[in-house]
Amino acid sequence: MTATALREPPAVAAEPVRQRRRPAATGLLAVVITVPALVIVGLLGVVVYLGFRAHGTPDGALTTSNFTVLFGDAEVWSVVRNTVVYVLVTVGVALFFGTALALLVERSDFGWGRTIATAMVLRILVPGFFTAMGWIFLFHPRIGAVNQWLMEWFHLGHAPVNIVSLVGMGFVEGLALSALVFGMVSASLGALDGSLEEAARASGAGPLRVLFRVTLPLVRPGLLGAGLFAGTIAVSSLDIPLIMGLSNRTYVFSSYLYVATNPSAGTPEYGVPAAFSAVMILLGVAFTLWYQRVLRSGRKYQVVAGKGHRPARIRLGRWRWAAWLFVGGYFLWSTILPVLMVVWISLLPFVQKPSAAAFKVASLDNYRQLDWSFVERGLTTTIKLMVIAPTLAVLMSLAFSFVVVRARRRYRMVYDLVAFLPQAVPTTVFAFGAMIAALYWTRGWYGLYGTLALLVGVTALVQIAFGTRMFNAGLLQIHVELEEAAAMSGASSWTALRRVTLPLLRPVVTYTWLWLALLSLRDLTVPTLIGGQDTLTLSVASWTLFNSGQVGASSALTLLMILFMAPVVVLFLLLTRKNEGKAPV
Amino acid sequence: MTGTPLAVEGLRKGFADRDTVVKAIDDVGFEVKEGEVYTLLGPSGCGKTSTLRAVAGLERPDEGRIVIDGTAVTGDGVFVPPNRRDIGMVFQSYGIWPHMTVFENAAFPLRVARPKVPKKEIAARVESALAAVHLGGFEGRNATQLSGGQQQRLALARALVRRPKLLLLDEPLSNLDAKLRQAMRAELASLQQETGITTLFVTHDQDEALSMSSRIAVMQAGRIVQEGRPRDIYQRPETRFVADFVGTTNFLPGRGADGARITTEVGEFAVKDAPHAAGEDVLLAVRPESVLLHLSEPSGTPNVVRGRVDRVMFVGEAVDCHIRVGDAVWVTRQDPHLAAVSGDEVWLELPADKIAVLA
Repeated sequence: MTATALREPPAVAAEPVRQRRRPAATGLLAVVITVPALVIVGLLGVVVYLGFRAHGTPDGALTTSNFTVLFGDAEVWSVVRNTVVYVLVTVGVALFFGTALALLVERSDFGWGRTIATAMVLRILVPGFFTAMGWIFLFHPRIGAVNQWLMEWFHLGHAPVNIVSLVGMGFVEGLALSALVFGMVSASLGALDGSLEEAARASGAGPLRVLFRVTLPLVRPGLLGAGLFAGTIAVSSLDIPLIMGLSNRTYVFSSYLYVATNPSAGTPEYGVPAAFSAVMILLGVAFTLWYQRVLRSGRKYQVVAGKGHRPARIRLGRWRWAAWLFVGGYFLWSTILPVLMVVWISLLPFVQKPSAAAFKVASLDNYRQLDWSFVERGLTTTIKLMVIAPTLAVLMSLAFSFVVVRARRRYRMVYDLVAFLPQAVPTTVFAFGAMIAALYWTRGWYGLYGTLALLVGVTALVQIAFGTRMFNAGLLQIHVELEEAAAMSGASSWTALRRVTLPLLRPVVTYTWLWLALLSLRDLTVPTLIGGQDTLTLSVASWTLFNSGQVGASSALTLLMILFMAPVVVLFLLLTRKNEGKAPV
Repeated sequence: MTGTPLAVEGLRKGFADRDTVVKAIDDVGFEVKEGEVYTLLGPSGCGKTSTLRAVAGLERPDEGRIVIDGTAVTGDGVFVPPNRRDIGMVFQSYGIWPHMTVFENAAFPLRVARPKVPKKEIAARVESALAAVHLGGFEGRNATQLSGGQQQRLALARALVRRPKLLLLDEPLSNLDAKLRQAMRAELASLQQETGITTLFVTHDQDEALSMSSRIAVMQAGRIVQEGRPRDIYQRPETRFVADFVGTTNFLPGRGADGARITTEVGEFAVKDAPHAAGEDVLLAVRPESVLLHLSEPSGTPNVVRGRVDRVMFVGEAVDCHIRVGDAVWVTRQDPHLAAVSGDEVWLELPADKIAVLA
């Protein structure tokens, strides 16, 4: 600018500038995203506020008694204990299986990398309550087929495995989340400069020692991130705790909140749940701050590296059979058998283990007798949800990420923090806050309670956490010089955004949208808690049937839902095939 | 403890690329003598790094034998994993572990050694290794706080700390900037001389290869095309590829006349030893600095050809004088005080003993 000004003759410089000034992209976007940011903070604020009101209603008296009751309540403490056990088991199982499989694929000569990666994506997309149902049919102490067989064969007095326990719940949730861990750890391993491990080999360390002294310590940030994500998702998710824990009253935080706000008898009491949620918010915010610090210090792990190549693969040699057993066993027990059991049960009038006698009564009756108007309603809501919510979430996340990554002001970190909150604070808390806010503060034509708009809005807000993680990473890869080059060519910041940044970001946008659409489809947490006539999604319908004892019908409906997901999943796989290396999260 | 430090025989390795097999290493064999710096030189993709990695045990060749210090480590149905080979290696990107301190990085080979090395000895040996690469006093530093050159030296200390039989260097200087690279080249050479360690060195940089090696093997498309002392490689290239890849060369096609004379388009030249029969097509190769430039026609001097100055490029310690001779442009390196300017008529003298005759 100065250089041109110096060279330009003064006559030209004196000419009046007619150009209309438009605000820069980051500035305006920062203003726009204030709305969703305020809503996120507001919803959490509402919950905290209710925690200080008698009975947790806005017109209740100001009090701290909810917190006194909370900390003195034996039931609450058992929920805390349960949640801790459940989350620890989940994270342990998810990390073990996810990391082991990632190491096998990325570092050994096992092969089948692409097949396993695809199967893992499919695993994430199978709804949690689906595998939970499958595991119940396999290992429930009373109706579980495997338990019954074991008891018959070994003449046992009682069932050897009880899957509807805390450990069981954690195990099933952990298996479900191992796919996510696999994706994240694979990405970390892939990004690691291979010469780091080869240097250890050339220094005389054997494969195992390299693994524990070099590989694992170096992917520790990745492992930590994967563990934390698995942990927060476990606290948030409602499907497995509901299906596996409700009947025997084993509550963790999410199912506790659901039961407290949807009591089978009497008026709901929101006070203690709100206080409990307030504590969870506090933990969530603390966690977010801590995690951001960890990320920042994680940057010191970035190495001055040349071309990062894959290190030499470890030969499995005569241990290949063990690897096959591990991989085969994992997929068999985590996916294939549970799915087969759900298919089997959907063909039966009542739950029984596979046998010749049971085979005779198998029929398609459950499918024929499904209340199709009920299904149709669920399907319509689901389609609306899975189209609108991801679109909103993608748009908001793009705006958030653009401000966070590209703006040079200090406030950008605040936006990043807010965008991460839906990950750190259990989704159940957001849904709870939204439900109460809609119930008490929206009336008449703008009444939101029980509407699809509320469901879509809350789903989209919660998805911002995932969306911004994806777009932050995506934008960081698009070098700022590309936008600056556009500016030097005379483009405004908006034109640069539209013509350069967005086209480059498009693969990530498509990927994120599809991923969020699939998550909206399988989600049970937000629709169940927001609860209402207009918000009956397929997953809620399936859960309703299961909860009212119509297990066969529920299985049938769940299978239909999977069928309905299939085309989206195929589209997803086709599109991600071209964008290899973009692991989820 | 018998035999040469490293012997490689009939090494082959192919990579499947869609439906064809690319021969990364195609029948490579060489021997490295005690205390020698043996360099594999070639453009990227010539198989030099694959060969080095096969010696390290990081890659399995399809065929061939590798013997380190009398022990067969590859071939005859044997494959010794890299950690059981008596080697030290410096990687192109150094492979310095960011989660360990400088001391921990250098101590790692001793920590994992079998039989166990006593703690006191580890401390002493790491200290002397770090001192040897001028990193004394940096022990407690975080490895990522080191500069590129320091990381490079640390990688060297780590490779040498367990006193291996063989040191493998995979383009160790290519990530450094020009000035630092020259300093490190000298440092590396003197360290090698002090320790006397047998070294296998891989590089694509001819200056590095020429200045640091005892012997050089020039590789092309998976094969060794010429092996010899740096001077031989430079002054007596055997193929056009070698002449072209190692340094700048002027080529002149010609035909063998009688005994020590070659006929070309621009005249007849006497050469020192022409192993080729009369009537055979040959290629003359002359280095830019071997060409003598005269501003007036010298009398009674053989091997002179007339040309016209195309351009004079000042490169600091010399000028590169581009001379048009016939249809070709020759590059000659001259004293920077040269008075010639573009368009001048000049006479080039090609001393008979500086002309290489290629088939």
